[in-house]
Amino acid sequence: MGLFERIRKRSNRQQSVEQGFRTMRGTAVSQGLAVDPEPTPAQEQNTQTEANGALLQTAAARLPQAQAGSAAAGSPVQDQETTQKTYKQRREDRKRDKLAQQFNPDADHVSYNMMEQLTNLDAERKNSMTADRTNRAVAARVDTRVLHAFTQGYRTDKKGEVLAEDQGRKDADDAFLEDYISGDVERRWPHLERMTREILNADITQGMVSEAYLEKHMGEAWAIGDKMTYYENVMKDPINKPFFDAMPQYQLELVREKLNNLMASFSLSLNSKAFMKGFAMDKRTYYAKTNAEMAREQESFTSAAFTQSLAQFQQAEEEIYDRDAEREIGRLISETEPGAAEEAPQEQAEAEGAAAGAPAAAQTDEYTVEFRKAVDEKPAVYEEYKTMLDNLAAKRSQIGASWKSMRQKAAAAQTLCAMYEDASSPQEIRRREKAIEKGEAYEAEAGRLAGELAACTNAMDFFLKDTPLSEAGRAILTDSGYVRELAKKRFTGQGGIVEESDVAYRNAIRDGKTIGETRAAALVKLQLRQSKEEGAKLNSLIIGDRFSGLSGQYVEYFHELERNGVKMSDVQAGMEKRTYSKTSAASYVTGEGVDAITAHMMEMFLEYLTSPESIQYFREMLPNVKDAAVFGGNIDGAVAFLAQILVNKFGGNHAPIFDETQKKAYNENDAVFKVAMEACRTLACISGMPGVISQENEAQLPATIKAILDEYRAGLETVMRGLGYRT
Amino acid sequence: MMQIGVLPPGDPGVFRSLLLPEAARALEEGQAVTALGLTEGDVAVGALAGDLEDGFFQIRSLYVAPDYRRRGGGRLLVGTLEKLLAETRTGMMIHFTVTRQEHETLFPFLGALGFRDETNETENIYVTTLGELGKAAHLSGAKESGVSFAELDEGLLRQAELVARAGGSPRPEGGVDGPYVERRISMAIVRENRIAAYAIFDRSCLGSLTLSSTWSGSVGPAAVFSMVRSAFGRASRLFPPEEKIVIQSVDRLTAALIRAMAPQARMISHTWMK
Repeated sequence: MGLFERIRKRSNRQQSVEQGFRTMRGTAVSQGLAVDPEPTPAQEQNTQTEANGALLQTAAARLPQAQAGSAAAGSPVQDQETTQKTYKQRREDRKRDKLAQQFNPDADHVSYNMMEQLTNLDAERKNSMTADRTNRAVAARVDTRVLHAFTQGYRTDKKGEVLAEDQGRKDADDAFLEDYISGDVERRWPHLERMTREILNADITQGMVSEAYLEKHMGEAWAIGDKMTYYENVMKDPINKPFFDAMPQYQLELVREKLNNLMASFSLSLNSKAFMKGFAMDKRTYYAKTNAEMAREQESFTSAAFTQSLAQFQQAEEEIYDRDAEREIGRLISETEPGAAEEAPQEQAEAEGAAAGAPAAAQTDEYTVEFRKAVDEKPAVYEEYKTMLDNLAAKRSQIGASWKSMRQKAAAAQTLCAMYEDASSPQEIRRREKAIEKGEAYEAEAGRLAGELAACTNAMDFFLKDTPLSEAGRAILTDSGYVRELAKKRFTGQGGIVEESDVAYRNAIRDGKTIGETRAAALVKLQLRQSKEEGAKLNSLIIGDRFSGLSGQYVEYFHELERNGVKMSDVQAGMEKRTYSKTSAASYVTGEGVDAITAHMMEMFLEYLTSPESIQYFREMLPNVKDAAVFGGNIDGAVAFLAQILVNKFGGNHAPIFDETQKKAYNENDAVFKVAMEACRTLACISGMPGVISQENEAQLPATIKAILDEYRAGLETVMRGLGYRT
Repeated sequence: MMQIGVLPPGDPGVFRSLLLPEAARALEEGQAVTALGLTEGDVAVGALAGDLEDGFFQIRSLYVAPDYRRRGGGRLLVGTLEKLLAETRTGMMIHFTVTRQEHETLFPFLGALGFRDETNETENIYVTTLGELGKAAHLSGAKESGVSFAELDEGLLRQAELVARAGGSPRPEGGVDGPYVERRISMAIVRENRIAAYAIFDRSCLGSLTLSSTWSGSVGPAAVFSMVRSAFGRASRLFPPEEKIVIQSVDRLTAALIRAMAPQARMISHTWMK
């Protein structure tokens, strides 16, 4: 029989039991008792189906759909079905249903079983808590409720003799009661340890207030609630003070948290479960009748409160173990390295000193010596990059101190794990787990810091020792805002980009290449044209967002044109493609409409190009490339080249005009696309003309294009003036 | 990195092989089964399925492929389910049988996740061997009680089946006179030309010799104990010592009997809850 067939069968079984309920309830109604209508089996089945549907919906809303192309090898196997309630057991349940319903129509075999466990518990405890002991306890002013709660009880046979298997429990109770009543803390001590253990080890879970659990374990659940309630009295008893003074802090915190957070809600939840089942747990009697609706409401409220308390307790418990681990790790560090506490501020001071511009002061680690040596060997380099190198040295020192501290903590956590190796109590096991967790976290953090330390070292060595720059080293430089320094070093340093460009330039000359080919070979090696190249990446970082507003203006401009009735299809129809030189592949378009558009776009671009922000960009980037052989000491050439890169990247880039949000927003999308693309291409073409185009070719340019070129040249002049190369 | 997703009712897809057949079938039939799939990259590596019943989420199937174990996948499956159940304050319950070494890994796994063992000792399936039974002193030299089904008239068995069916007494699935009954070792006590008590063996559990039904009728439990003892004696003459014997306890009495006869017998049906 399949699992789900069994479910159906079980629901049939419930149906037959329910029919029994209805018969009994029918009697109750005829006797005039107020009883809410019992849900029918079909209703119960529907409720369950609805609950399953709701759960499924929650899962679908919170989780993505599981997707996989293949399955790993292996399949679950269940050779044998699990056992179910036997016929005999079900018959016994029905018998108990009837017995319980004699007292209360809402009671059933679950109520009966719960009640039976509680009365058995009472009877067994009473065997230990004799009248004589109670009297002696009262006389000695000992809280009898505490004694009662922490007595195990034992069973007797028909003759009143203790059952052989319960002799141990009796002996333990005898010892506990006598020692506790004595009022001597020394005698109480081992029992207080046991009592504390019971409170700490009481693993209170959501399932403990479920009907399925309580049917079999109501006695245990009640006893736990009872113990938690009266442990507070144990703590308040002045005789027990030395015991609690000596208790480890984490245990004390755990106990307090359990009593404060869980005790009341757990006991209330148990009580409301019992109420739903028709009996008063405290009084051990059945109610004559219960209001089912009220009982359900009460149960729902207390259950929710218990869930919340449980979550709060679990959170608090986690925090207690967390604090305990940190406390213990701190203690181990201070015990193993007495000077550690004093050392940290010193390291801090070193780091602060370095940050204040004294890189060589008070730094003692191996790298610091190397750093000093490198600084001595390359004083000019150090002077050139002083601020950055000092800051990196300070950063490195700080990271080093953190790394050292993390390593200490990781080692202490490892020692802590070893101390808990033979842990047997749940609390010690949790402490070990927490120590492992902390150790792993510290290790991971130490690993991350070691990576940062290596990156920092690499970044400094890149400048001082010409060591190749690692990805991590590059990241730390750019993240720390040292892009300019990095670019300077990469472009102008030994073996840098400019050097590579110069080699290409010389080789091209040696190989007899034309002027154009030689220039092209050298410019390519400056790595500014291809965005994936290092030079271009550094250039982009220096440019930042200075030109980011231009594409938005272009978009608005094209919308404006359409709003003003410009038909892009007409503009497109009037376009004519041309080249300005027989040897150049660069082409431009001209035509009545498109020339005006190109001129407007150039105007917008030049506003950006000649802005103070842009001039600042040239100030930062120009020194990196101006000495390249390809420019022959001609600053104008270098500026024009950088400006051309800016045109290609921003001014002549039509892609943003047709991004996802814009590409369907124009009246004539295809025509706008074509016109914008050609206008941009023309801008790019024009930006390549200064210094390259011959007078003859320039004279043949259409007047409109020549005007745009002149405007661009004027823009370059403005940049030169801004840079101080023109008066 | 392992990830969790939900399996929609209708088609478990490649996760089918990672679910117990009943769970996969229930999903395919579109039943309201909550099923979670565990993946690593594009590979399905585990699954969990179950439904709400009796106030608990009953985990019907839970599996992580062997090559992907000890990497937190099982914990992720159960933890995700627990979060889904948190709002409704619903606990989880899992019933499983341990018949292979692989199944035993569930104990530490569930324990570490905070599940508690709620296995019912009085209603369980116990497994032992004829060899282990033979070591129990009270079996050796015991006088035979009752007669084997093989020696009984077919009419008596038919009549016993009718009585059992009408009275709701325990009986094997195919009936007292059914084809699956191991007649050579099933025993009955006959009084006044009627079967007054029986102990029936078949191979209904794990294909092993299974004490499937006992009925003490009017003769009392002690007679059943004697019959079972006789049956074991007969089995030990017919089968080798390593032959497995499966006994299901149905109440405290039978559980006590099993413990007395076969102290080495181990329970295979387990229930854990959280």
